[in-house]
Amino acid sequence: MTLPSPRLALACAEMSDWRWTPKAAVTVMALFLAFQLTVPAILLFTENETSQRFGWQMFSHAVPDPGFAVVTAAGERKVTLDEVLAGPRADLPLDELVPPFLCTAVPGAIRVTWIKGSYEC
Amino acid sequence: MLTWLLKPLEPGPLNRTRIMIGAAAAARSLIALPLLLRLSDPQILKTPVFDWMPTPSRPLAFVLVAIWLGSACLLALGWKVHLSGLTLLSALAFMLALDLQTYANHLYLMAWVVLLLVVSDAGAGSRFDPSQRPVARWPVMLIMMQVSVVYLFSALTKINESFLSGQVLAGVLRDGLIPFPDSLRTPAFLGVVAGGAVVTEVFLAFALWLPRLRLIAFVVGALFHLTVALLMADTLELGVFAMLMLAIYPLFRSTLPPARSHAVAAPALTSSRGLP
Repeated sequence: MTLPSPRLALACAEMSDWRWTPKAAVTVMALFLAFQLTVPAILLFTENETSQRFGWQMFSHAVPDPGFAVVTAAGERKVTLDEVLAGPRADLPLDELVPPFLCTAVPGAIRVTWIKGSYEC
Repeated sequence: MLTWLLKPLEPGPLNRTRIMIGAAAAARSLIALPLLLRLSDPQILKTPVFDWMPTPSRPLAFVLVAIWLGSACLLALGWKVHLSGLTLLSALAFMLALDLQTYANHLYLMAWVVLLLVVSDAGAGSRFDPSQRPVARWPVMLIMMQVSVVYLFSALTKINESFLSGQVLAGVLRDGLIPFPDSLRTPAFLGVVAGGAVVTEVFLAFALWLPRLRLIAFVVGALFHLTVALLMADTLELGVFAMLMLAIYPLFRSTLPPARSHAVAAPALTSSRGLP
């Protein structure tokens, strides 16, 4: 298999010939480890009721069910997370994101309510 | 220690790891397609990470998955690892940055591992680069450290009331390939399982580095990932995560010095394979 562009082929060949100097290797190792230990540690000690991205917080918290409901002139309708999200996750700030969306997505929406609060459309 | 870290390695084990990581990435691209297509539905909430990122759409989903799948297959084959690896890394970074809903911890892990495979020149020994030239040891060590970091922080973040009480497990131990028995769905039993999961992850984070415990760690890790993938949803995503982690396990055996009782044999074995 050959590359379509000679310039690209040359760039790939140069990259394959790249050799790390000891100083560069040690620097990259130190930066990598510092990042990999610091970021999850900071997120671990950040007070939060839900998971945090980039912190390896896998299944540490359940995906919450805020119990969203849309109030229209016709009455109140419960809305499940699967109806509005492509992929519900425990690290999504649902209270901030879902109510404004429901106000625009549901015709005639007056208010969005959930267990912890309500949002006027 | 530093001299040892900078010594080269024979390419065989990393070559096998690269094949498995490439295969896991290819499988994950197909799992991503339904999510991306659903996200392109106007009735679905978009949660962009950055305002300047494109809005998810069907054409974007197909193009992204095509690039992702293609580069993952080429990485698995070992074709121009710098090019295929960096292309795959770009596709993964795009997926992680596209929307809050397209983030997944195992995708983030996959991106780091692919980056380190590129840095370690993991194409050596492949069909497209059959030369048995040695590969750098230190990026391989970083890949192994990455595994321990994932296990350790995954365990530490589970030390909270919600998880240890079994509440989280009660929610996720459903819809798996094997249904979790209802008779065992009690707070007491789920609490024990939750504690066991934390202990297992801490054990794996350290035992993989210890020659005397490594074989036990391999077995425990394989059973742990298999159980998680079978009992919890989404089985396919968890299967990819298992593949990703288990692909790295053999590197602990091939990269680290063996147990002290066998240490005398190690230099002879290394030099017989033509490595400096």
